[in-house]
Amino acid sequence: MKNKLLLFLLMFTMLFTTACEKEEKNEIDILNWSSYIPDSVIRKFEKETNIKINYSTYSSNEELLAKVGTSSKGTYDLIFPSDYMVELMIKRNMLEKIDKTKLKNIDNLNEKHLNYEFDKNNEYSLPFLMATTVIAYNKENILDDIKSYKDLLNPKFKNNIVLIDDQRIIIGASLLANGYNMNSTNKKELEKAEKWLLKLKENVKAFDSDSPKNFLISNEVDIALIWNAEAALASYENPNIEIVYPKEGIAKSLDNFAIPKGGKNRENVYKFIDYILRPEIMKEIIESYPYKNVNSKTERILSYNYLFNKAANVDDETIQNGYFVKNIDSHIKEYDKIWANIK
Amino acid sequence: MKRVLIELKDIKKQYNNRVIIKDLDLNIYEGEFLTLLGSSGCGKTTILRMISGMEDVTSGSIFMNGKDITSLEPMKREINTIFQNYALFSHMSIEKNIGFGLKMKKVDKDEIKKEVKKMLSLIKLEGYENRKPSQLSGGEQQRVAIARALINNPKVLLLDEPLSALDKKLRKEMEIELKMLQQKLGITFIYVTHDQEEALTMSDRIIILKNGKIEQIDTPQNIYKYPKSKYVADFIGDSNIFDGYVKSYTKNKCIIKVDKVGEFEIENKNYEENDKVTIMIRPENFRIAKKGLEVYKKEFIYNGSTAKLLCKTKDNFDIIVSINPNDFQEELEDVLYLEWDKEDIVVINEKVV
Amino acid sequence: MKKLFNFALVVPVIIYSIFLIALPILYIFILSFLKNDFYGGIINEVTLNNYLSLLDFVYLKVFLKSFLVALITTILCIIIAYPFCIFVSKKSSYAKKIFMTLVIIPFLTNSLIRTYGIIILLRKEGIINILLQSLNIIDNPIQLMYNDFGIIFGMVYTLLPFMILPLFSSVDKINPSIIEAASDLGANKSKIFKEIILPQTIPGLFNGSLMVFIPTIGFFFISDIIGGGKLMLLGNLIKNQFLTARNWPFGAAISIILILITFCLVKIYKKLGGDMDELGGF
Repeated sequence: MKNKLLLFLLMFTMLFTTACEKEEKNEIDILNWSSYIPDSVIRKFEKETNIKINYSTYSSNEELLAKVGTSSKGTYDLIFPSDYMVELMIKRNMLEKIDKTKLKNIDNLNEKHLNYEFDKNNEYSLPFLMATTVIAYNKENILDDIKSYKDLLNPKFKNNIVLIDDQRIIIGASLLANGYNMNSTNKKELEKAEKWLLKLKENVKAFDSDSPKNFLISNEVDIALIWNAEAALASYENPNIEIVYPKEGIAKSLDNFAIPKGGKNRENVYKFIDYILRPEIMKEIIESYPYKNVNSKTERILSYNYLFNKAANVDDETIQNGYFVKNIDSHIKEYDKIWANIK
Repeated sequence: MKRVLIELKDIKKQYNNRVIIKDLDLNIYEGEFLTLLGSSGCGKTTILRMISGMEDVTSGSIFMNGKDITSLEPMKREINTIFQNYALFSHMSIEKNIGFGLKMKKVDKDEIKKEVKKMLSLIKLEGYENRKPSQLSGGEQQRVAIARALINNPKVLLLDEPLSALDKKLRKEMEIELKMLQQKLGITFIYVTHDQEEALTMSDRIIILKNGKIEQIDTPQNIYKYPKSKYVADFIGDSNIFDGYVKSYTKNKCIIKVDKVGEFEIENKNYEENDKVTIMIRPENFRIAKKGLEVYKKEFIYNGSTAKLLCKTKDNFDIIVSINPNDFQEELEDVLYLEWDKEDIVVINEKVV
Repeated sequence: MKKLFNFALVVPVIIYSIFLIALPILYIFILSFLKNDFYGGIINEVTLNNYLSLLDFVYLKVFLKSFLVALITTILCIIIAYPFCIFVSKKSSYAKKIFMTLVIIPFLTNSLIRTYGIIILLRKEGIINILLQSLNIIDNPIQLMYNDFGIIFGMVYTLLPFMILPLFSSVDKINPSIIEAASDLGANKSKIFKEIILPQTIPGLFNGSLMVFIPTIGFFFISDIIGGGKLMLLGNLIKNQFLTARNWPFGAAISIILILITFCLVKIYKKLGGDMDELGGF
C-alpha cells in the first residue's frame, strides 16, 4: 500500500520530466548485471534486427529487486535474476510465464541446468550462465598450499586477502568452513561463523565486488575469494594465479532470463533470447566473461583457453556439490547484524 | 621647553615602485596635540601607521624616548590607535571591548573591571558595560574607542580621522571634548584629518602635507597668518592670492603690480625690479570703503554667523571679502571700493627647490 | 498584479520543496513505522521495532564509529581550512577569486570519480609512496589505503571545499581594521585568532562543520572504495537495508534518526545565538 504512495510520487515527478506514455516502439528495455554481455553482442543484435536495446545494469539481486519493484510496470522487458531471486519474484507474482514455443534455440540449453528447485519446469526462467565462488592465489608469493577456507586464517596472510563484498556469500563461506550448511539459520552456528569471520578479517585487506581481480593483478593482495570469472580473468593476466575449490564446498549462482510482469515488446524479447542462445553468441559472451557455460551447443566450440581454465570451466562435480543461496526470510536480519558487526 | 618624544629621521616609504614619502624628518614633542593635515593621498595616514608600527618603513628610523623603535612590533610600542571606523569588536560587550588591552597584558580580572568603570565615567557612558557596540550611536562608539585605547596608558595616542563619520554638530562637540581630554591627560595626540577646521580648532601644531612632503609645520595661528606657500595659503581658510612683480621700489617701500587687479604697497625686503612676488590678503582684511580698489558684486555667500562677498575686478579677477552678515545684498552697491592695511598683506615665500 | 507575478515566481520552488523534499521525507517517516516482509515488501502493521532494534549494541557501534569518523573529519577540515581562509582573505580581490575558483574546480568532477582518483595517490605503488621512497624517507611502501587513514583522507579530501567556502565567506567579512585594532591593543597572532577571528566566524564555522559532518556519515562509497569496504558507516548500513537486507522500514528508521540529529545540531546552533540567515547561504 505504501508502495502505491511512492508510485504516486514517482508519477507526479514524471509530470515534470518527459511525461510521454510508453508506446510500443521497436526496442527492448533490458536490465542486466554489469559486465555480463559485451557491447559487441548487443550491437550485432541491433544491426541484425534493427531493434534498439536500452541497456541498464545492477550489481546485486537486491538492487534488481529494488529497481523492478519501484518502477512502473513495463519499465523493463527482460531481466536476469539469480536462482533465489527468481523464487522470490515468483512468490511475489512479479514474473510472466515464458512461452517456450516462441524460442527456436531453447534446446541448446544444457539439461543439467534445467528444472532446479527454485523454478521447477522452468516456467518463469531459463538459465543464462552460472557462476561459482573460488579461491585464487598468486603462487609466486604464496608458498604455502591453500586447500580450504581454514587455510585462509594463516597469520602469514595478514592484510593479504580480498573478499567479495557480499554478506550471504562470505557468511556462507564461514559457515561452510565450520562444517555447517551455507544457508544455516541456527543461532549457535551463526555465532561460530561470526567469530570465525572476525578472525579472518585480520587477514582481509579489502571487500570489493566491483573488480576484485585488480587486487590480484596489481599485487595489492595475493589471495582472493571471488567469483570464478574474475579469477579466470586474473589467471589469464598472470599465469601464476592458482585456482582452488576449497574442499568444504563453494557457492554457486545460476543467472536466468526472466520477463517481468507488464514487460512489453514481447516478440522482440523472444528474438533476443533466441539470439543469445545461439552457440556462437554464447561463446562470445562466455569468453569475454568466463563464467560457467550452460549452453551445450556452445560447449563444443569453446576455445581451449577457456576449457582448460579451472576457474572458467568449473567441473561438474564441484557444481553438484556447490550451494545455492537460499531465501531465509526473517533470518536475514541476523545475517545483517553479523555483517554490521564484522565491518 | 618641551621634550622631544618621537623623532622621525630621514623616513622613506615605497610601495612596489611608487615612492610615497621621501626625506621625512619630524620631531614630535611630549604632550602636544599635533595634527597631520592634507588632502587624500598626501601620505598623512601612512606616516601615522608607520609611527604605530602597522606599516614598515622602507628606510630611515623612528625613535621614541631615544630608543630605536623602527622595527618594533606595534604591540610593543607604548602607542595606541583610534581607527576611522572605530573598529570595535562587534561580538564583545562594551566592557570587554574597553578592557581588551588590559586582558592582553594579563591584568587581573577584578582590576580590569575597576579600570573599565573608571574609563566609562571618563567618557560619560556609565552603566554601558553590558551593551554591544551595535546598540550604540556613532558618537558613543567613538568614545568607547577612545576609552579602549586610553585604558592602556599609552604615551602617544594616534587618531585617524576619528570624527569623519559624525554629523557636523556632533563633530563640533567632539572636537572640544577631544581637546579637553588631551589637555587633561597630558598624553601626546597625533591626529590625522583633511578637515582644516578641525585642525585649527584642536591642534597645538599643524603639519601640512602635500605629496608626501611637509609643506609647513607651525601653530594654527602662524599657519593661518603666515602661510609659507601658495598651497598652504589656499588650503587653510579662504584667501586671495595675487601673483605680481616688483614695479618700483624705494629703500623702505615696494610697489607690487598684479595684472588684472592693481597695485599693492609692501615693505621692501631687498627686492629688485621685476622680481616675482606672491602676496595674499585674507577676506576679513578687506574693508568696503568710499575709495580704493574698484570691484563689482558677483555673489553673496551667507553662513549665518558670517558672510562673504564674492566680487571681481574690472578685468574679471575674483576676490573674496568678508562682510557683516547683516548687510543685505540689496543694500550693497554694484560697484564697491576695497581698502586694506599694509600690514595685512602677507608675502608668500615659496620654497626654493 | 505585481503580487501575482511574485507569487508565480515562487510557485516552482514551492512545488519542488513539497514534492522532492517534504513528501519523500514524509514517506520515509511513515515507512519507518511499518513492518518488513523480508521479501522487500512492506506489511501495513505499525511497529516500533525498527527503532527499537537500533538499540542493539551492534548498531549502536555503527552510529558511534560513524560519528567518530565524522568528528575527526570535521576537525581536520577546520584545522586545514582556517589557515587557508585567513591567508587568502589578506590577498587582493583578484587573487581571492583565483583561489576560490581553484577550490571549486574539483566540484566540476563527479565525487565518485574523484574518489577513484585518490587511489592513484594512496595505493601501494601510488604517487605518495613513490615520492616518499624516492626521497628515502621510507624503505617500503606504507599502507595508506584500505584502512582508517585512507577513509579519513578520502573524506577530508572530498569534503574540504564544503568547509572552506562557508568559512571563507565568514573570514572575509571580518573588517581588517579590527584585526589591526586587536594587534594595536597587544594581541599576538594566536590571541587574535582566539579572541577575534574565531568568535567572528562562528556562523561560517558552524555552517561548514554541518556541511562536512552530515555527509561524512552518509558517504558509503568512500568507505567502500578507499576503505576496502571494511568499515560500515551509517550510510553503508542504510544502503545495506535498502539493497541487500531488503528491510526498507529499518533503513527508513535509520534515515529518520539521521535527519533528527541534523535538526538537533541546527537547534543547538540557534540556541548558542547563531545567525540563521548567515547559516542559510554563502
